[in-house]
Amino acid sequence: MPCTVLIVDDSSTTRMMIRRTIQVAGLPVDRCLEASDGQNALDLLAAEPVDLVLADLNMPRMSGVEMTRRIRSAPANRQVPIVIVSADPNLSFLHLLEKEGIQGYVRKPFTPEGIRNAVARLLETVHA
Amino acid sequence: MPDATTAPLVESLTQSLETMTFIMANASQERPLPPPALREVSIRFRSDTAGWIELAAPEAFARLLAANALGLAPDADLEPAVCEDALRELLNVTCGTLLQADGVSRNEPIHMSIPQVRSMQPEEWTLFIEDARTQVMDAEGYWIAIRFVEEGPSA
Repeated sequence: MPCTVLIVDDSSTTRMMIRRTIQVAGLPVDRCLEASDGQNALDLLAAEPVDLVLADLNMPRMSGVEMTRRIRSAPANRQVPIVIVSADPNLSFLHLLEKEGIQGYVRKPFTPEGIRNAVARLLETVHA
Repeated sequence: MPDATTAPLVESLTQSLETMTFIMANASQERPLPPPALREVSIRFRSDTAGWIELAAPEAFARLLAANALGLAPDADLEPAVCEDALRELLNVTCGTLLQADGVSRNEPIHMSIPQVRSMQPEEWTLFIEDARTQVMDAEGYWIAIRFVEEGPSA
Protein backbone atom coordinates (compact mmCIF):
# COMPACT_ATOMS: atom_id res chain seq x y z
CA MET A 1 0.00 0.00 0.00
CA PRO A 2 1.51 3.38 -0.99
CA CYS A 3 2.52 5.56 1.95
CA THR A 4 2.80 9.24 2.78
CA VAL A 5 6.04 10.57 4.30
CA LEU A 6 6.43 13.93 6.04
CA ILE A 7 9.88 15.55 5.75
CA VAL A 8 10.57 18.23 8.37
CA ASP A 9 13.70 20.37 8.01
CA ASP A 10 14.35 24.10 7.88
CA SER A 11 16.76 23.52 4.98
CA SER A 12 14.95 23.31 1.64
CA THR A 13 18.11 21.68 0.26
CA THR A 14 17.88 18.82 2.73
CA ARG A 15 14.13 18.39 2.20
CA MET A 16 14.66 18.06 -1.54
CA MET A 17 17.64 15.70 -1.09
CA ILE A 18 15.53 13.40 1.09
CA ARG A 19 12.55 13.63 -1.26
CA ARG A 20 14.70 12.75 -4.27
CA THR A 21 16.32 9.84 -2.40
CA ILE A 22 12.92 8.41 -1.52
CA GLN A 23 11.58 8.90 -5.04
CA VAL A 24 14.46 7.10 -6.77
CA ALA A 25 14.76 4.33 -4.18
CA GLY A 26 11.71 2.42 -5.33
CA LEU A 27 10.09 2.60 -1.91
CA PRO A 28 6.31 2.27 -1.55
CA VAL A 29 5.87 6.02 -1.04
CA ASP A 30 3.45 7.92 -3.23
CA ARG A 31 3.50 11.27 -1.42
CA CYS A 32 6.20 13.34 0.29
CA LEU A 33 4.89 16.28 2.31
CA GLU A 34 7.31 18.97 3.48
CA ALA A 35 7.42 21.21 6.55
CA SER A 36 10.05 23.82 7.41
CA ASP A 37 9.77 23.53 11.21
CA GLY A 38 8.03 21.62 13.97
CA GLN A 39 4.99 23.89 14.14
CA ASN A 40 4.48 23.67 10.38
CA ALA A 41 4.70 19.86 10.69
CA LEU A 42 2.07 19.78 13.45
CA ASP A 43 -0.26 21.90 11.29
CA LEU A 44 0.15 19.45 8.39
CA LEU A 45 -0.40 16.43 10.66
CA ALA A 46 -3.59 17.96 11.99
CA ALA A 47 -4.90 18.16 8.42
CA GLU A 48 -4.04 14.66 7.21
CA PRO A 49 -2.45 11.45 8.47
CA VAL A 50 1.04 10.35 7.44
CA ASP A 51 2.79 6.98 7.69
CA LEU A 52 6.30 8.18 8.60
CA VAL A 53 7.99 11.39 9.75
CA LEU A 54 11.60 12.27 8.95
CA ALA A 55 12.64 15.29 11.02
CA ASP A 56 15.60 17.50 11.82
CA LEU A 57 16.29 18.46 15.45
CA ASN A 58 17.67 21.98 15.23
CA MET A 59 14.96 24.13 13.67
CA PRO A 60 13.54 27.62 14.28
CA ARG A 61 10.16 28.07 16.02
CA MET A 62 9.95 24.48 17.25
CA SER A 63 12.71 21.86 17.63
CA GLY A 64 12.40 18.26 16.50
CA VAL A 65 12.26 17.05 20.11
CA GLU A 66 9.39 19.36 21.04
CA MET A 67 7.61 18.45 17.81
CA THR A 68 7.96 14.74 18.69
CA ARG A 69 6.50 15.30 22.17
CA ARG A 70 3.50 17.08 20.68
CA ILE A 71 2.97 14.47 17.99
CA ARG A 72 2.99 11.76 20.65
CA SER A 73 0.50 13.68 22.77
CA ALA A 74 -2.11 13.45 20.00
CA PRO A 75 -3.85 10.05 20.14
CA ALA A 76 -4.16 9.87 16.35
CA ASN A 77 -0.40 10.19 15.88
CA ARG A 78 0.90 8.18 18.83
CA GLN A 79 2.04 5.31 16.61
CA VAL A 80 3.50 7.28 13.69
CA PRO A 81 7.18 6.27 13.30
CA ILE A 82 9.57 9.21 13.61
CA VAL A 83 13.16 9.19 12.33
CA ILE A 84 15.53 12.01 13.21
CA VAL A 85 17.83 13.18 10.39
CA SER A 86 20.25 15.59 12.00
CA ALA A 87 23.81 16.91 12.32
CA ASP A 88 23.34 17.20 16.09
CA PRO A 89 26.67 16.27 17.70
CA ASN A 90 25.26 15.10 21.07
CA LEU A 91 25.65 11.33 20.81
CA SER A 92 24.66 10.82 24.45
CA PHE A 93 21.36 12.41 23.50
CA LEU A 94 20.28 9.43 21.41
CA HIS A 95 18.87 7.29 24.22
CA LEU A 96 16.86 10.30 25.37
CA LEU A 97 15.40 10.58 21.90
CA GLU A 98 14.27 6.98 22.07
CA LYS A 99 12.42 7.79 25.29
CA GLU A 100 10.65 10.56 23.40
CA GLY A 101 9.31 7.98 20.97
CA ILE A 102 11.82 8.25 18.15
CA GLN A 103 12.41 5.05 16.18
CA GLY A 104 15.52 5.90 14.22
CA TYR A 105 18.41 8.27 13.74
CA VAL A 106 20.25 9.14 10.52
CA ARG A 107 23.29 11.33 10.95
CA LYS A 108 24.01 14.17 8.52
CA PRO A 109 25.77 14.16 6.15
CA PHE A 110 23.56 11.24 5.14
CA THR A 111 24.02 8.85 2.27
CA PRO A 112 21.09 7.80 0.08
CA GLU A 113 21.48 4.29 1.58
CA GLY A 114 21.10 5.67 5.11
CA ILE A 115 17.78 7.31 4.26
CA ARG A 116 16.55 4.42 2.14
CA ASN A 117 17.31 1.82 4.83
CA ALA A 118 15.65 3.81 7.61
CA VAL A 119 12.53 4.48 5.56
CA ALA A 120 12.29 0.90 4.26
CA ARG A 121 12.68 -0.62 7.74
CA LEU A 122 9.96 1.52 9.29
CA LEU A 123 7.52 1.25 6.39
CA GLU A 124 7.74 -2.52 6.81
CA THR A 125 6.48 -2.09 10.38
CA VAL A 126 3.67 0.15 9.12
CA HIS A 127 2.54 -2.59 6.74
CA ALA A 128 3.08 -5.45 9.21
CA MET B 1 49.76 29.57 7.42
CA PRO B 2 46.82 27.84 9.13
CA ASP B 3 47.56 26.37 12.55
CA ALA B 4 47.37 22.65 13.38
CA THR B 5 43.82 22.85 14.74
CA THR B 6 42.42 23.47 11.26
CA ALA B 7 43.00 19.83 10.20
CA PRO B 8 39.84 18.41 11.88
CA LEU B 9 37.84 21.33 10.48
CA VAL B 10 39.11 20.70 6.97
CA GLU B 11 38.34 16.99 7.33
CA SER B 12 34.80 17.73 8.50
CA LEU B 13 34.21 20.14 5.62
CA THR B 14 35.59 17.79 2.95
CA GLN B 15 33.58 14.86 4.33
CA SER B 16 30.38 16.93 4.35
CA LEU B 17 31.01 18.27 0.85
CA GLU B 18 31.75 14.87 -0.63
CA THR B 19 28.83 13.10 1.01
CA MET B 20 26.24 15.82 0.31
CA THR B 21 27.35 16.96 -3.12
CA PHE B 22 30.26 14.86 -4.49
CA ILE B 23 32.36 18.05 -4.55
CA MET B 24 36.04 17.50 -3.82
CA ALA B 25 38.02 20.16 -1.95
CA ASN B 26 41.70 20.40 -1.08
CA ALA B 27 43.52 22.60 1.40
CA SER B 28 45.78 25.13 -0.27
CA GLN B 29 48.59 27.42 0.81
CA GLU B 30 47.62 29.92 -1.90
CA ARG B 31 46.47 33.38 -0.87
CA PRO B 32 44.06 34.11 -3.75
CA LEU B 33 42.57 37.47 -4.61
CA PRO B 34 38.96 37.92 -3.48
CA PRO B 35 36.56 35.92 -5.66
CA PRO B 36 33.57 37.89 -7.04
CA ALA B 37 30.23 38.07 -5.21
CA LEU B 38 31.35 36.62 -1.90
CA ARG B 39 29.06 35.19 0.74
CA GLU B 40 29.92 34.42 4.34
CA VAL B 41 27.98 31.88 6.35
CA SER B 42 28.50 31.49 10.09
CA ILE B 43 27.25 29.20 12.83
CA ARG B 44 27.68 29.56 16.58
CA PHE B 45 27.94 26.75 19.09
CA ARG B 46 27.77 26.65 22.87
CA SER B 47 28.61 23.96 25.41
CA ASP B 48 31.32 23.96 28.11
CA THR B 49 33.01 26.29 25.66
CA ALA B 50 31.57 28.47 22.92
CA GLY B 51 32.62 29.68 19.52
CA TRP B 52 31.75 29.80 15.87
CA ILE B 53 32.70 28.61 12.40
CA GLU B 54 32.75 30.88 9.36
CA LEU B 55 32.85 29.86 5.71
CA ALA B 56 33.51 32.31 2.88
CA ALA B 57 32.67 31.33 -0.68
CA PRO B 58 31.67 32.97 -3.96
CA GLU B 59 28.07 32.86 -5.19
CA ALA B 60 29.17 30.65 -8.06
CA PHE B 61 30.34 27.99 -5.60
CA ALA B 62 27.01 28.20 -3.75
CA ARG B 63 25.22 27.59 -7.07
CA LEU B 64 27.37 24.52 -7.78
CA LEU B 65 26.75 23.29 -4.23
CA ALA B 66 22.98 23.63 -4.54
CA ALA B 67 22.86 22.13 -8.04
CA ASN B 68 24.87 19.07 -6.97
CA ALA B 69 22.87 18.58 -3.77
CA LEU B 70 19.63 18.69 -5.75
CA GLY B 71 20.88 16.52 -8.59
CA LEU B 72 20.63 19.33 -11.17
CA ALA B 73 22.98 20.42 -13.94
CA PRO B 74 25.78 22.74 -12.72
CA ASP B 75 24.37 25.60 -14.84
CA ALA B 76 20.81 25.15 -13.57
CA ASP B 77 18.95 28.41 -12.98
CA LEU B 78 18.61 28.56 -9.20
CA GLU B 79 17.21 31.30 -6.99
CA PRO B 80 19.80 32.98 -4.70
CA ALA B 81 17.81 31.81 -1.68
CA VAL B 82 18.24 28.18 -2.75
CA CYS B 83 22.00 28.65 -3.09
CA GLU B 84 22.25 30.35 0.30
CA ASP B 85 20.24 27.55 1.89
CA ALA B 86 22.74 25.04 0.53
CA LEU B 87 25.61 27.04 2.04
CA ARG B 88 23.84 27.20 5.41
CA GLU B 89 23.20 23.46 5.42
CA LEU B 90 26.80 22.69 4.45
CA LEU B 91 28.08 24.64 7.45
CA ASN B 92 25.44 23.17 9.76
CA VAL B 93 26.54 19.66 8.81
CA THR B 94 30.24 20.55 8.96
CA CYS B 95 29.84 22.00 12.47
CA GLY B 96 27.95 18.95 13.73
CA THR B 97 30.51 16.60 12.21
CA LEU B 98 33.41 18.51 13.73
CA LEU B 99 31.96 18.76 17.24
CA GLN B 100 30.88 15.12 17.23
CA ALA B 101 34.28 13.89 16.05
CA ASP B 102 36.59 16.12 18.07
CA GLY B 103 36.79 13.68 20.97
CA VAL B 104 36.35 16.40 23.57
CA SER B 105 34.48 15.25 26.68
CA ARG B 106 31.83 17.83 27.48
CA ASN B 107 29.63 18.15 30.54
CA GLU B 108 27.04 20.27 28.80
CA PRO B 109 25.08 19.40 25.64
CA ILE B 110 26.17 21.25 22.53
CA HIS B 111 23.76 23.83 21.17
CA MET B 112 24.22 24.94 17.58
CA SER B 113 22.63 28.08 16.16
CA ILE B 114 20.76 28.38 12.88
CA PRO B 115 23.47 29.38 10.34
CA GLN B 116 23.36 32.95 9.01
CA VAL B 117 24.47 34.19 5.57
CA ARG B 118 25.65 37.69 4.60
CA SER B 119 27.54 39.38 1.81
CA MET B 120 31.30 39.65 2.32
CA GLN B 121 33.32 42.56 0.96
CA PRO B 122 36.58 41.91 -0.91
CA GLU B 123 38.67 43.59 1.80
CA GLU B 124 37.05 41.31 4.39
CA TRP B 125 38.18 38.27 2.38
CA THR B 126 41.76 39.53 2.47
CA LEU B 127 41.68 39.93 6.23
CA PHE B 128 39.88 36.61 6.65
CA ILE B 129 42.45 34.53 4.79
CA GLU B 130 45.34 36.28 6.58
CA ASP B 131 44.07 34.94 9.92
CA ALA B 132 46.16 31.99 11.17
CA ARG B 133 42.96 30.05 11.96
CA THR B 134 41.68 30.27 8.38
CA GLN B 135 42.22 27.50 5.86
CA VAL B 136 41.93 28.35 2.17
CA MET B 137 40.64 25.52 0.00
CA ASP B 138 40.28 24.80 -3.69
CA ALA B 139 36.84 23.30 -4.27
CA GLU B 140 36.75 22.19 -7.89
CA GLY B 141 38.23 25.47 -9.10
CA TYR B 142 36.47 27.75 -6.61
CA TRP B 143 38.38 29.41 -3.77
CA ILE B 144 36.66 29.02 -0.43
CA ALA B 145 37.96 29.62 3.11
CA ILE B 146 36.91 28.35 6.52
CA ARG B 147 37.77 29.32 10.10
CA PHE B 148 37.02 27.84 13.53
CA VAL B 149 37.05 30.25 16.47
CA GLU B 150 36.73 29.09 20.07
CA GLU B 151 35.97 31.76 22.64
CA GLY B 152 36.65 29.79 25.81
CA PRO B 153 34.17 28.90 28.59
CA SER B 154 30.63 29.82 27.68
CA ALA B 155 28.82 32.37 29.81
